[in-house]
Amino acid sequence: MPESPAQDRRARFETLALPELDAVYRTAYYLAGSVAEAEDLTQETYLRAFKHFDSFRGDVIRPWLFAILRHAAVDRYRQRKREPLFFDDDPDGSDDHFGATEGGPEDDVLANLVDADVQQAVLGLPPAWRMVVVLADVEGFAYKEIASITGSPIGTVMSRLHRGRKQLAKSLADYARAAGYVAEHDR
Amino acid sequence: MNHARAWMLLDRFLDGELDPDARWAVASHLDDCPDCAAELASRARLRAALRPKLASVTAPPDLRRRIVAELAITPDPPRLVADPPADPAPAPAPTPLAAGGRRPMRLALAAALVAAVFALAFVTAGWFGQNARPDPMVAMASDLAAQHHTFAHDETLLDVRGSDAQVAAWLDKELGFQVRTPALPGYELAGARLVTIGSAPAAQIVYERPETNGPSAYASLVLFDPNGNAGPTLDTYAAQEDGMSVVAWQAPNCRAALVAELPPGETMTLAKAVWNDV
Repeated sequence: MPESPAQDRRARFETLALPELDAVYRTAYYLAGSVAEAEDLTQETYLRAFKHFDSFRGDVIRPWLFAILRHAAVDRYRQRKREPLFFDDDPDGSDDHFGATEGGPEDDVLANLVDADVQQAVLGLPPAWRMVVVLADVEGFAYKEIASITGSPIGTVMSRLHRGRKQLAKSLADYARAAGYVAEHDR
Repeated sequence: MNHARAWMLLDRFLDGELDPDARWAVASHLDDCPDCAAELASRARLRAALRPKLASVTAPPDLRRRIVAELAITPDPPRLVADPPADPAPAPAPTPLAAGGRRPMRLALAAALVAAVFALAFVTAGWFGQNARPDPMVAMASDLAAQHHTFAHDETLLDVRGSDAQVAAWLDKELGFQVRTPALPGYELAGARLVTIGSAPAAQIVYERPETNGPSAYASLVLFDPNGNAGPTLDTYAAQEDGMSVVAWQAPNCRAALVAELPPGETMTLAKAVWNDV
């Protein structure tokens, strides 16, 4: 029996979008900072995407899906009357753009850090930086795609990415030091 | 390439985001500079070590099941975009720029219009398929079309929705440059978002053609930051891709492009209606 157009549409959506579920959830988790929030945000993203699936006419669904995730997150935080567009704001302070070394932890220190330590360090980043770091370094998006997803100019993406990575390396080194992963002579 | 410049480009080198010339220049500096080479290696190791630790977050097993269940009971939404008719209703004819009490056409504009007609003649002769244009033009047109394609049809993807005044106020606040939101004949303003096209910051103003004026369709007017160093490099070009066509031109205050789900001739007609108003 041939499928109805509605079934067909749903099947097509599921084939394209569901393989991205882990990636969408992961990014939602790094945006929201909690499992419950990440689940809600992921669900909202998929429902919105399905609702607007007719507007997707490309081949690659990832940037489109992640843009919907970002918008869903923005709307969610607006509704809750938190800072609107909270992950679009750059922290104040001097821009040490492309400055000194990242000063990250050494290899043996990295090996000692467990996943949860690193995830906490990412959650500690200012939201605007966190989003681009996750999109670039976890999901592997190109600068241009990140600019499209976040709706920011590519220069802003590069600057946030640089500052976010630098801060992340610094927090990891600090964390390792505090946790005693660093040998005495390194202190 | 000197040390400071190469050092600055290390991240982009590692991300594969440099053009071939810069990439080559950084690579040859790395051969001579142990400091840069060590820093690059350290950043590469850090990233390689972090990625699996961050990617180990995965969706809870029952989330997929819940989403699939919810999709199953979500009614099929009304189609946002009708299947393209064989012969789309033409956009209303624009007011000629030199007539109807508008300001007289300037010489440069007249020249641009002549160029536009030429570009259009090439389009209809099928040059686009033959890659007769330099690649950056084709890439820009394709970027514009992709941006429209992906983002214009879904109002939840707009940064701002609403009336002329709301959109204008938002653009005023968010953009580093002045733009106007001209009326596009036959279309209604839907909203706007900030975008990056070919590394140039721009405002994408989205218009919707209501069903009363033919099948529902969308158009994006893209206005490029005049202070940015990119944007369309030719004064005028037109390209056709995937049922959309793109016209770009130099407006009085900024570079502009119009993407519409129309044949190039009709997009050009529509573009001429707002040619001087942006």
